[in-house]
Amino acid sequence: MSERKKLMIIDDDPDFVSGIRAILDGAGYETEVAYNPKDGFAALKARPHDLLLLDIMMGRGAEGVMMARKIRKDPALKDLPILIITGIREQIAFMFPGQAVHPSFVALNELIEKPVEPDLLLERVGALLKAAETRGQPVG
Amino acid sequence: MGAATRLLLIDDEEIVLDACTEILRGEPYDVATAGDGTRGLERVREFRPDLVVVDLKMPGLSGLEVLERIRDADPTIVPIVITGYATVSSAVEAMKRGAYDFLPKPFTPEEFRLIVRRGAEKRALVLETLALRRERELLRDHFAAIVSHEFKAPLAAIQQNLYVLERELAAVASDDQRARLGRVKARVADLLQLIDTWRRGSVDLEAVKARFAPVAVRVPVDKAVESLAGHAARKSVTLTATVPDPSPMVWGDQATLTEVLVNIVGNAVKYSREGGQVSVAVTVEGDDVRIAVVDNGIGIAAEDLPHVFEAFYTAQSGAAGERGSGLGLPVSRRIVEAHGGAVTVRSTPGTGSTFVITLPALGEGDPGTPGRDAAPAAAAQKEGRR
Repeated sequence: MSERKKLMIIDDDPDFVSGIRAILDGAGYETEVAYNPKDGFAALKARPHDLLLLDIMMGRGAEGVMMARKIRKDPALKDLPILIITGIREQIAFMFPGQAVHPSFVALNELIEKPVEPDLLLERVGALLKAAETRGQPVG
Repeated sequence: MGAATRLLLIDDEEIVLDACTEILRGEPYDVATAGDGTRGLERVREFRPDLVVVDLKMPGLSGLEVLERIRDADPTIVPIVITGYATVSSAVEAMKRGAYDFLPKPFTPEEFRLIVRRGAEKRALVLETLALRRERELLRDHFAAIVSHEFKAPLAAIQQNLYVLERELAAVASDDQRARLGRVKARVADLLQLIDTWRRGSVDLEAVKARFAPVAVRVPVDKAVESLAGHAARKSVTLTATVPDPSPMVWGDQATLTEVLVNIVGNAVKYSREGGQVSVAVTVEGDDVRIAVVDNGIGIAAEDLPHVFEAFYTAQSGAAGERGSGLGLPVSRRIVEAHGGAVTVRSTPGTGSTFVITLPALGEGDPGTPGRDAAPAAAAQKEGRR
């Protein structure tokens, strides 16, 4: 119950990462960071995590999208909750209104825009973790 | 790119094919051969050569015809012709039809090697030019998106750390320091918003016009209301939209129309007081679709009113609080005018403003169907992200 939740952050901007990591650490989460998708995927495979915070625009383009697709296809990781934190939310929101992200883009649990207010970040992370817990438990 | 140059030889004389293949042995070429024009064209498709050396005089498909078809298939392939009867006229004719160079028979191994090497260099140049052109087009098409991302990324990192600082210093900072931090945050937020508006305003409207299609007005209205629901909820502003069912149709671009509504409805929310009301009402009047955005907010002073559609004009007389970028309304007007429509504004300071967008309606027989969901757009408040 009181075990600390393990969050993985994959984002290529160390300054931005330090800004969200401080908030998450302060709220009692255990955080791990990778600054590129390759290291991030390896870390996800190596250790269990409760949630992934993922950037979209990394490297030579929208590598975060590729990354999310890869995770969704991986039998061991496909149920990992993903919170996308991106600077391009509004384009995506315009393209796929009414849902977190259009299924043909990639199935993701949530998406928020950079910069993200601390309370909003914690609320989203908490909600996703709770939803995942509920899914994992038998009803009743 | 480091790979061998692919060379296709087309000649009906087997001895020529063998000799040429032999000449190039040990050089960085990947050589394929074909004994006639028809087979040669097949090989062009399969082998995807950089260079084609073709004999002009062959039974069946002539060398000149082969040249032409290669040029149709892939104009970046560099063709070289071999001509047995070295008349100037046949060489000229071949060059006219796109041959890069010609080689009169008989030729020495050295001559052949030289002309092939020159052809390979030409091919490399052609490919490089093509790659550069593609890159330039990509940059042009995505310039605004790239630049805005480059600007926004560091600002987002700054703002994220300001959020953290604000939290960490909350207990120890003086009121003065807290206020200062608040102002820094607000300025960074303005800058982030300005970059967004600039990017959206950099849309090439001619390109957008080329994509025009029937749009159900409900769609951009719903999208705008949804994307602003969070902002409205935070200010306890009631945001409602009414659209006739079925939705009126216009000829246009859904994304930029959404942009217009986000700007105008967003302004209405921004200049509303806590607990205010913003309504979006779509009606059909004669040949026009009319979208009225009404707020009961702070209003716009008479002296500001004529200027609100000018770039970088932000009202000086407005109440303290949120400020605009000065780009949203000018961008909106450009977009609406590109749709053959108009935007007008009426306002009474202290009482509120009404922006009216009129767009030419698409008639009954026009193609396109409105969105499936007939539910009105007003579910905004509970559904929106916050």
